[in-house]
Amino acid sequence: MTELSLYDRVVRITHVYLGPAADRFIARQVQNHLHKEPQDLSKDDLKSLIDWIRVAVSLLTEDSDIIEEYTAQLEQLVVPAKKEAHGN
Amino acid sequence: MSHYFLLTSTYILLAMVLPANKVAQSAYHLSSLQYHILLLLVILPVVGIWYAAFYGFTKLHDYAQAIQSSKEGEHFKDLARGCGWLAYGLPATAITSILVNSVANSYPRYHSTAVIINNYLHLILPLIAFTILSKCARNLTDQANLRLSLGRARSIIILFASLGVIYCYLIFENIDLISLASSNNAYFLPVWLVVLSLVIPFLYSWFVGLLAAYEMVLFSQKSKGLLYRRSLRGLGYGIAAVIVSSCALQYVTSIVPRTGLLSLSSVLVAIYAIQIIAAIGYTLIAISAVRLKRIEEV
Repeated sequence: MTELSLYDRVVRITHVYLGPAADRFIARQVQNHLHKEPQDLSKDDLKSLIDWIRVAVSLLTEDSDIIEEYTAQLEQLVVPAKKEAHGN
Repeated sequence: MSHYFLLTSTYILLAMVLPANKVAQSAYHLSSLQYHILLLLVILPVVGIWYAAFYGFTKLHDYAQAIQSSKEGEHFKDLARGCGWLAYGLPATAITSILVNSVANSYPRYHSTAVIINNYLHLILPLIAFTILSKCARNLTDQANLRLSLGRARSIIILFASLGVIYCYLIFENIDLISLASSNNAYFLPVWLVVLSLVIPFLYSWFVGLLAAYEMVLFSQKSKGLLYRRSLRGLGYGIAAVIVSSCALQYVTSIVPRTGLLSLSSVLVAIYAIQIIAAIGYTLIAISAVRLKRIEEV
């Protein structure tokens, strides 16, 4: 089975919160704030992307629990990268 | 919204310049001026409700435009189109009614024609709207892999059957059933034509409408995405309120066909109450569409 790209994994997590709007939402954050094409998203961009997502989602809801829960799940995508960095 | 202002001005202008109805004038002992002032007071809340309808439609249309290239974009476009038919249907029906009724007031031989035109107009526009809304509600629930449960389907059938039987009973009370070809009834049509071209299409229209309303609520409650669903909730309930109130309005006005007279009765109060529910529905649609659009903008 083909492994999901980083972008797809971010979208999959976002789907839980934004449903069918998730793909468009993440593509917009990547293009507008990171000035990249969605498929070019790399682990180095994740931290910055999560910050932008936090700002964007806080414009949609005042429920800080949801924002924290959502960004915490996204931050888990960063963890393996840190482990790799320690390994090296 | 420019269409709203144009249609509203046309309606108010017609209401003010067309001659007063003699029967209503003598029934309420009104001069022509008093009649027109009273008519203005009666129609002002109605045009306020139209404003809510056009505002809701405009916001939903904006959202549909914002997501037009997405998978669900086409369905939201249909949803906006259905709401548009309902919103434009309000002034279209009212303006046509006031014109044909005015002709009937001046030339009594056209009274039956005016009643027939009014009845078909009240049927056709919502029927088109419900058909469009039903198609897109089904497409949206299909896309979200949602299905009407057997229990819910049974509840809808029981509700629909009850309303249908009461409706038929009330309709046939106004009809002389001795001869099917007789047009001597409040609808000025042969009984067989009333059944085939009014009763059955109305029942079909309500069934399609109620099913669409239920499917939209289902879609808004069960869609994926916590924040998306919160924004969508108002849309589901709003569409349901608009459809149910439109069905109720057809129900009330078709049981006793409208004669075009200014009538300050319990029916007018019922019509206001129903239209207020519609206005709340359109407002919910507008709020929800603005929230959904914000998701596409941040």
